[in-house]
Amino acid sequence: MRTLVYCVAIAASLALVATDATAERRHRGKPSAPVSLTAKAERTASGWRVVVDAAPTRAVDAVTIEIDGQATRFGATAARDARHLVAPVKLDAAAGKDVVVTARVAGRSQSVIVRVGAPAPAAKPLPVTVRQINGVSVAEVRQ
Amino acid sequence: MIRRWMGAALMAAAACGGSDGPPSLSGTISYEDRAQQTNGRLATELVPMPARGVTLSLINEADGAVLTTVTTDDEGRYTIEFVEPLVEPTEPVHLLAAAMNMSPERPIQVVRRDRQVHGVGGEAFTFKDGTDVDLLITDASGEAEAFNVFDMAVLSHDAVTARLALTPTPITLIWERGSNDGTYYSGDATVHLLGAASDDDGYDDTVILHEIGHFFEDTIGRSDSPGGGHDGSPTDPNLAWSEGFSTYWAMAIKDVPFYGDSNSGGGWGYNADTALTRAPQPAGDIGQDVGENLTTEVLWDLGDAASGDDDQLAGDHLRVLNVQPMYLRTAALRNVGEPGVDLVDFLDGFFVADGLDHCAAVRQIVVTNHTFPYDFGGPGGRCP
Repeated sequence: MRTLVYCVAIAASLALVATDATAERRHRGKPSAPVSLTAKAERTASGWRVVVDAAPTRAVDAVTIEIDGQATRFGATAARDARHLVAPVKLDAAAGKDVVVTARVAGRSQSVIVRVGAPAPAAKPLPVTVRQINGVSVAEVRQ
Repeated sequence: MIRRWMGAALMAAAACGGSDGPPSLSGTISYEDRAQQTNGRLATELVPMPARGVTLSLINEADGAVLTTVTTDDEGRYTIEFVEPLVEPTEPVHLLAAAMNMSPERPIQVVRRDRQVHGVGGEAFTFKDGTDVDLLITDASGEAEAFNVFDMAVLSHDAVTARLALTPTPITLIWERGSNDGTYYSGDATVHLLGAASDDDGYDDTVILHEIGHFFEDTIGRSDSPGGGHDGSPTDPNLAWSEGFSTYWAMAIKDVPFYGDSNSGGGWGYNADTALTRAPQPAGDIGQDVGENLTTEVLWDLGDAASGDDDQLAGDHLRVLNVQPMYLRTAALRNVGEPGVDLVDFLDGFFVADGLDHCAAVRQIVVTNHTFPYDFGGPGGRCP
């Protein structure tokens, strides 16, 4: 009985792995930068700051972090060793701003946008008219 | 009835005016594009490009009726001839350009996340025989990138038809401004492309073509890629082959050794002709992990011309691309190195297709330059 339970558990695990592998195989993404980049906005006593961590996925000669266009270069960095950077952001009261954060590693780069301060106004979607063209639904935007 | 009579009167007037042929409407459809720069950034200048092969409809402004539908030519030109039963419109109409083509040569559609095809309608106008009515799809409309994505698929399908003499299979590409869905090929003849503010791939020609390269691997060649991330580090040979080939596909289709990917921080670029990626273990196993760039650079060197180059081989991209349908698609792969298709199997197929005339030049590229320990002993014969 115990053997049967083990067999069922192993089979279920293998099936799960196979399913994951199939799902992964279906997703062939674009070349990425060898870095894990996280950024967040934090409120401080005097305003706002952006906090960034950039950890290369392999040992690299340098890691460069850009916050709102200001670049800071770190030297050789071991795999998974996060480089930490904090930058204050000046904002008028009740104002908001999108801050671009970029990590440049081994000739590639990754960017994220951090919203600081007031939320961005919601973008109003353009009105769309759906028409059937040769049996296909076409969403028409008028210029 | 009145509309029909007026149409007939207009036709008669046009005939009396001495014009040849039936009354017609013509013009050019174009879209605004941002060119890729060598550092991966996009040019700030917007340049009009012909919207070739797109579906164009004439729409009655009042009731939305689709009066007729045609396809633009390779210069983005269209002509609508009013021949019975199609009568000249007497009420205001407008043009609707749709990012789709239903022909066997270019079976392409670019859709939103709700799977409706991207379309752009122009200003209303009143028909007058012999006049040109153009439509420029602007960046401001949020739709120009969809037409750029469409154009990259046209480039790819034309290469398959004209260069490889194969019939392309239908492809769907999903892009929408603001989309955070990711950029990937999902294995079901569907390419997904980012439209996010932090990373929008709608104008990144080489990123779009890279993902279309995966589609062509599946439909005319072979891939055993396990999928997953790839950041240029040495990785699984099946993954390195698949990703390196797809980047090469982008370069071969555009005939430049450049890959670029813009993002909100600028972007990054890569030149396969000037970069040199080496195998980590020159004396190691033929199935060792390698970087995707090594694959791209070997393929580019095998496919480019000899002059002004760092390799001696006067190659052509057709010879390289043809290994996918001619060998990898159907051949029983040699049981060496990593199981599944990788660079070793491609090189085997290259010698099967090309013979052994270029052994020395290929050895220089693969072994001397890129330090990859290929054994030159595939089914095409042993190189001297």
